[in-house]
Amino acid sequence: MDMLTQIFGLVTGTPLIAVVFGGVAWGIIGGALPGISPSITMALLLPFTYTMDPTMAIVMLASTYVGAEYGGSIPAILINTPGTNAAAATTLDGYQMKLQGRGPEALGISLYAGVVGGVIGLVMLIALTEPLARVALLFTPPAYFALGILGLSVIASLSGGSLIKALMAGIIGMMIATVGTDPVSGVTRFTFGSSDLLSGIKPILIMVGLFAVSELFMQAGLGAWVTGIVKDIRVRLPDRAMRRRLVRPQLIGSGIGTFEGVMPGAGGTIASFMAYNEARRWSKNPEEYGHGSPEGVAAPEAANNTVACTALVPMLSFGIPGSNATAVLMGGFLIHGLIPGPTLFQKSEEVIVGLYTGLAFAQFAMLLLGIVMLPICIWMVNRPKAYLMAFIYALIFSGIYSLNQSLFDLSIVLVAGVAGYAMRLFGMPFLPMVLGLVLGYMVESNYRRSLVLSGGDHMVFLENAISAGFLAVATIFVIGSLGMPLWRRFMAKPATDSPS
Amino acid sequence: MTKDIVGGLLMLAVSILYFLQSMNIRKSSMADDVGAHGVPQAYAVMLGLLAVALVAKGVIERLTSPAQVAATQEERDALKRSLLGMATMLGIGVGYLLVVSTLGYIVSMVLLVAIVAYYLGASPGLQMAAVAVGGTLVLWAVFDLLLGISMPAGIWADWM
Repeated sequence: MDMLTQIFGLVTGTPLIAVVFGGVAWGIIGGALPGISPSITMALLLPFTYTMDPTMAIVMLASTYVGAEYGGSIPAILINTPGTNAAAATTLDGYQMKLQGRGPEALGISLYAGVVGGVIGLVMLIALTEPLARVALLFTPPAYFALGILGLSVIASLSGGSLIKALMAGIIGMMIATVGTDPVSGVTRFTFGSSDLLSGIKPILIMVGLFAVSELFMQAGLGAWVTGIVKDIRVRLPDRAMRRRLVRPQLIGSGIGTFEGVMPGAGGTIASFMAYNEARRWSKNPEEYGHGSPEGVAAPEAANNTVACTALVPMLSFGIPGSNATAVLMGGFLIHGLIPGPTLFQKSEEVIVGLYTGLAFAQFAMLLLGIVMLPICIWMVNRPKAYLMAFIYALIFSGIYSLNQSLFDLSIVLVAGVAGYAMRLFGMPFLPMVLGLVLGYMVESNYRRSLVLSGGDHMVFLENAISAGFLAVATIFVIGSLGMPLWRRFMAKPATDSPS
Repeated sequence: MTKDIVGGLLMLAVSILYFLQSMNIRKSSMADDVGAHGVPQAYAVMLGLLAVALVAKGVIERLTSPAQVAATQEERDALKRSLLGMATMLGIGVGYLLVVSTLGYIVSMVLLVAIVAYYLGASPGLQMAAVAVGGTLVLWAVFDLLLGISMPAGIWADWM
């Protein structure tokens, strides 16, 4: 009853609905622009949320994430260019449908499946987050240290091409986290006498530099992007018969999206491709996949929109961001002085209630705005890249300055942009660095506090049951992440060698 | 691969500089056994070892399959274009930081938008001026008037 009163108060006494619509609209536009990922879209919005009420700020950022996941499917279907990585699987059948003159139907299926996936994701988010957070309340310094290590162990699964590069990125993130005042003794480290660095480098400055500025730097060396999307296209939502046909792929997509979202590091891209494959495997008409199958659009869209909600589970429960977008959202929490994790449920319950309520409204907002915003998205995608990039650069400069009215912050963002550009060039992934950055302080401070409490005995990490459990899971996770490709290669070898 | 060797050497340099800097961290009487320098030095050593491993990997790949790792002329040209693009955008950003305190937000931002758009291929003219001035005024209105954040006024401080 108390919760219902809170929700009623939010809906009637705050600008929640306007904030949700604003966030979803911004997300759809950002997601629709090729090269502008959900994390960049959210990072660009962050400075605008700084002066907002914390609950409204978080709701707006989360709504943007929801909108961006749908927005990515618009260019995927219309010009065979996914607006986001997670929408890449949607191109396989979505673009084929468009070539067959069924573009409006493909857009409608993408929107409908996205909303269904989002609703299922939200239910799973609410069901899973609080029980996990309640467990986390029992944590002591050794357990927090081990939790940080568990979060960092995700790096092994994020390595993509090179584990060495992923580990290096993670360590650099942790190095950046050491700048400022030492958490135990209080002495300053790596500040070079600058008072601007005494409180450390704010993660959000690094994230905006890494994701948004480095993308602009990369785009500056590339040609103009594809424009010329047909202008008179509209969304056609699926009829009853089609909705029945889409039930199975949507359930498959949402199931996979739930699992992948909860697993830190997996993310929407893997979920959408897995959902596509599994939906084809369990389809009555697998031969239609790749040739304009509606199920081939519904499964990945349901999956990546489910992930947009379930990816918040590890962040809200344990304070571990599992994806780039949730890392930026975590940045939003931090600039408002909110620490994601178990204590958030005790100290700032209104933010959690607001977030859940906002996400629920975001699904309905997406259904409406997905139809209304399409002409605006098409107009935006058809703008000359030169003006769009220049305006985004201006937006970053204005937004970052507005956080603290500090030109020093802008120089940090530019340095992070150059670092991000170099990382893209050398093939180093961003997420390990962000994980190192946001978990570095937690790992170091709790490691040293644990040793102070135990008189320097490292066995404290194994004697504490929760800590030992986390370290065991982290070990299994690392071995599994590293061993799985080797195992697959080993299993594939006889088949490759076979004379048939 | 050449990229791995260059990247590895860069990271090695970072780890050495970071380690040297960590040696300057002041010792505190409140310090624990690990100390304020302990964890940073461990990070530096780990990064150094990984950097050496990356360089070694790059060298081995170069020695074992030189044909595969050699960049084509097209790839070298693309890299040059990309580096030039990055350096120009960075230069424009640094230029903005240098002039904004004097010229103020509005003039500096109009210049930034116009220069970036011109560099990325927009033709100078009325459209460019409209986008630069219009875009800047929209941003100024949002931040300064709507959100109440005072943007740098520069030499126009008395006028605003």
